[in-house]
Amino acid sequence: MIEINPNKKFIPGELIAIQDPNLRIPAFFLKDKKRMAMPKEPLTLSQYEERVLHPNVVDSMGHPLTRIYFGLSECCEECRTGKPHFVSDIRTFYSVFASVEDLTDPKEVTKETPKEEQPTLPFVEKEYPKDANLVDVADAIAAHQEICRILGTKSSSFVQDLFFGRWRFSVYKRSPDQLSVEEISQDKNAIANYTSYTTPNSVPYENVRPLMDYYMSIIEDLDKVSKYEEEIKRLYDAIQVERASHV
Amino acid sequence: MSKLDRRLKQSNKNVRLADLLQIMEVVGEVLDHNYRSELSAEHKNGLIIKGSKRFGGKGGSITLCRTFLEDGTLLDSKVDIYENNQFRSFALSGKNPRIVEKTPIMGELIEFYTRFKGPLTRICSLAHECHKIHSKLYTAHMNRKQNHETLEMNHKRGYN
Repeated sequence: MIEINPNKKFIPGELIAIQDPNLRIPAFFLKDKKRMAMPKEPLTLSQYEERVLHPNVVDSMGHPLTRIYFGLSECCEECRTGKPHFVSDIRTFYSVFASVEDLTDPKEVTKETPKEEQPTLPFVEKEYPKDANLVDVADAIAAHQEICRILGTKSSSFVQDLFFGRWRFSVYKRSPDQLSVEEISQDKNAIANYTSYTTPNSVPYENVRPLMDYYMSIIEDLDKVSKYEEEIKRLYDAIQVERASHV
Repeated sequence: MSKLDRRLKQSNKNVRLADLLQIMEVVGEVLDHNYRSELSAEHKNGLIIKGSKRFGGKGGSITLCRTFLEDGTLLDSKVDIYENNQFRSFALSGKNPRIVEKTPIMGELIEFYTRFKGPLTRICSLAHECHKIHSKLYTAHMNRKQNHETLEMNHKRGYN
């Protein structure tokens, strides 16, 4: 979780003009799917759960903003017409809120929130290890494959593509203890950059961070499902045994 | 004893159709405890998913067919009964008799339900929890994929 002062207020009046320097993204803050937050309307970022696709943001009244949408200028019809159309990823979310922080009129903030109550560090970045063990990466990939299995997605047993924002991990499971990850970086000047890792090597954490973040966000759910399934199987077997003995 | 249990015990000749559907909802989770098949079907059918559960006995079967919306909301339920070379279908939303004659296969189903009511109900509740988690994971999965596709499209157009 990212530590954020629940009383921190943001004035999104200039938000539409805010540009992320890297992605050229104007941000749109929505009250809900249909209503955009009005200019100068104070918002309180009371809690931001670190989940890539479900940032929990509430307004000053404590009402949740269901989504934060972004439009890349000139990228498509929705962008050109200013229609918000997809959810941010965590990094974009970070960068935009940092921009909000920078561009917010300090007088307006002071009007809403006493200065002494304002946090000096609204965002505390999670500390990540330098390297990730490929066994951990394999666990994350297995978790993804579990999701595919649950969802009934057909996938080849030999190769599995994982999509995380700008990253595509192509995973080859050659044997139970040997695994290679090909990371494709979509650079403007190159079609793709491939990097391969094979167990027992480690991989720089930054390279697998989206995958690991995703893994951490779903591991609890998967554990729950696994526990429930075990109990279902146990009860099911007990019924079958009892039924057979009765016959 | 619940009202349903009392009715099932008292009625020898007739069964309420609503009770039959309710029992099949519970029993169905056990008959086909691979409830994931419903989500697999979702991929095939787009917005609507279909799942069927069958209780088979001596010389007949009772099948529960359910239609869901993508978010897991139950749209419609119906029960198909096949017995003595006769096929009857009762939809929850359709015009059906409230009470139907209790046939041997229905009796078998009721007996099974009454006997294993405890574990059956528990399985049903666990399966429901799993279903909720699966739906959540599915939504996140699809959103992530869409996000990636949009970024990929932007990349192709020269926006990095």
